[in-house]
Amino acid sequence: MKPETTAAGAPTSASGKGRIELQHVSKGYGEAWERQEVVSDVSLEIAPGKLTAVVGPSGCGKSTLVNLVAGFESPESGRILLNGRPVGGPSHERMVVFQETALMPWLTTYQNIVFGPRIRGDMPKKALHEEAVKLLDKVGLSEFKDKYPIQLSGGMQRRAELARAIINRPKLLIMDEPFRGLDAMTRELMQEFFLRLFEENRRTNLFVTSEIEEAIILADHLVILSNRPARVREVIDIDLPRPREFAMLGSREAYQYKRAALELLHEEAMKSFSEQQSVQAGLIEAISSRGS
Amino acid sequence: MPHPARMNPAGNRHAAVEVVDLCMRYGSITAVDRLNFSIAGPSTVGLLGPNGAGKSTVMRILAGFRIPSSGRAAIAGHDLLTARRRAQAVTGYLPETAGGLGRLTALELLTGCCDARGIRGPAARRAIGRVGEDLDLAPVLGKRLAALSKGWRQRVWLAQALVHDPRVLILDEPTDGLDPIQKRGIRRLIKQLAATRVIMLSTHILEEAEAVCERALIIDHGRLLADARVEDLVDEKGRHAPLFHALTAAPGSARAVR
Repeated sequence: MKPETTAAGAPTSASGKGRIELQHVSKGYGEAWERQEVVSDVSLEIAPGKLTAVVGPSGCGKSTLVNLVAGFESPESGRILLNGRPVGGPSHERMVVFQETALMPWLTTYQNIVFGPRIRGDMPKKALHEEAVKLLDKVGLSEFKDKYPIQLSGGMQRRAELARAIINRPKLLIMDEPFRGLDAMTRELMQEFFLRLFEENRRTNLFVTSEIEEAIILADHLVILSNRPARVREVIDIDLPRPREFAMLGSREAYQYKRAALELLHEEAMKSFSEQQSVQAGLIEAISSRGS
Repeated sequence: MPHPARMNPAGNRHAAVEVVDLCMRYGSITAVDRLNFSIAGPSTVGLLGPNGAGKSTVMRILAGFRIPSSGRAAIAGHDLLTARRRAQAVTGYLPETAGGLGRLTALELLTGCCDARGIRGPAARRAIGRVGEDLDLAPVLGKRLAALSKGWRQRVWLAQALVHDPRVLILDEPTDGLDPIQKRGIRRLIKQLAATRVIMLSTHILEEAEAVCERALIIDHGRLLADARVEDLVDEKGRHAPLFHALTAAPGSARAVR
């Protein structure tokens, strides 16, 4: 199989093309002596129409980074810009976080997808219906539009959630471990499905994951975060051609990306591990000296 | 064997929550394994266990989100398989991953949830007024969910579970991801709500069960290890829970507190 290479200039549309810049962003929690920095001096550009994947050791501060970019939390220092304007005002409504969310169990697929815009009334009824029908088709759920979540498989539920997120036409889609909790087979199907969806629309995407291969097959840029507090350890550009195919994971390039990423992550994980060890050793010492 | 119908303090013939031989299998994995329990009247019951113990699966089945592989579950006598809509009508559900819909304001979310429950017009305004007051939502009703702190967002999602004044509340990890102050706030609310309702909440934090629950169901690998009063799970100093840790470490010791 020989994949075609598409030009870098992907299809254009009014929405989905936000450019995000993080400039020296830091964030910590707690007061004085118990203060802990979680995100430390992160500078990063999330290019329009590209998929930027973020991986890091568990507990490194990925979720905080997501909350900051989404505008759920504000940085203590540094700034985050969407298309050149600081995030934090009304602009963050143009971003949608997609994580393992919940459909309303008592609404049908269709009702779940149109729930938000219908309540807001910010889309004419007819246009909303047409958009919903289009999206249902895109996520392969046309035949299931009148079914309730209980009647859908896990993968179908996740696709319905995805449709509910993108019906808002966000400038940036933030995916926070979106396929977590799915079984291996469903996960791979979702990755493939999402890959097609992304390549069709090229919506600027920040994709947080703990799966390296998932990151490599989806991403244009792979950001490796350090152990907590999260710093940008390295940005690896993934130059695999698009449209991507899963078979590319077997290529020499993909293998090299994976090896480089794993090495960095391993180093960071070891740092975290040895810190825990020393904290533990310190505790044991403290306890035993008190006991004697 | 199903438990016989019983009278609870509220005078309702059916148990508020009834779970009989419930099983959930995903391929070769058994997430819930022959689970049996029953909750009679107003009380707060914690479903406890480590991550991956099967808590969320049980909660999702009770919310009418998942069909069990075998066995049955019923809310107020309405079987979740044969009378799901009726069961859902008397249940409020806070999903573990409450989120999304960030562009809606709190008021819009609540209006939408009322609408979906068939509560409209003045009745919806009354319902939102009631939960808004109970949960002190006034400062955030006009704000977008995406702009709220996690604690406030969780409060709004909790309100969503209450608009139709349900008899039973299913709260899946209600304080997960909140900071200590936010946790305290949500726990205080849960205690308030417990006076007139059956609340079932899942948690992997023992302190949470201690703080709000009267009864704890401890599960691991989908199996019920213990069904005990929470005070029995705490030692005399009230700080440690050796029994709980022993239970989760050694399933065989479950009989000790039955």
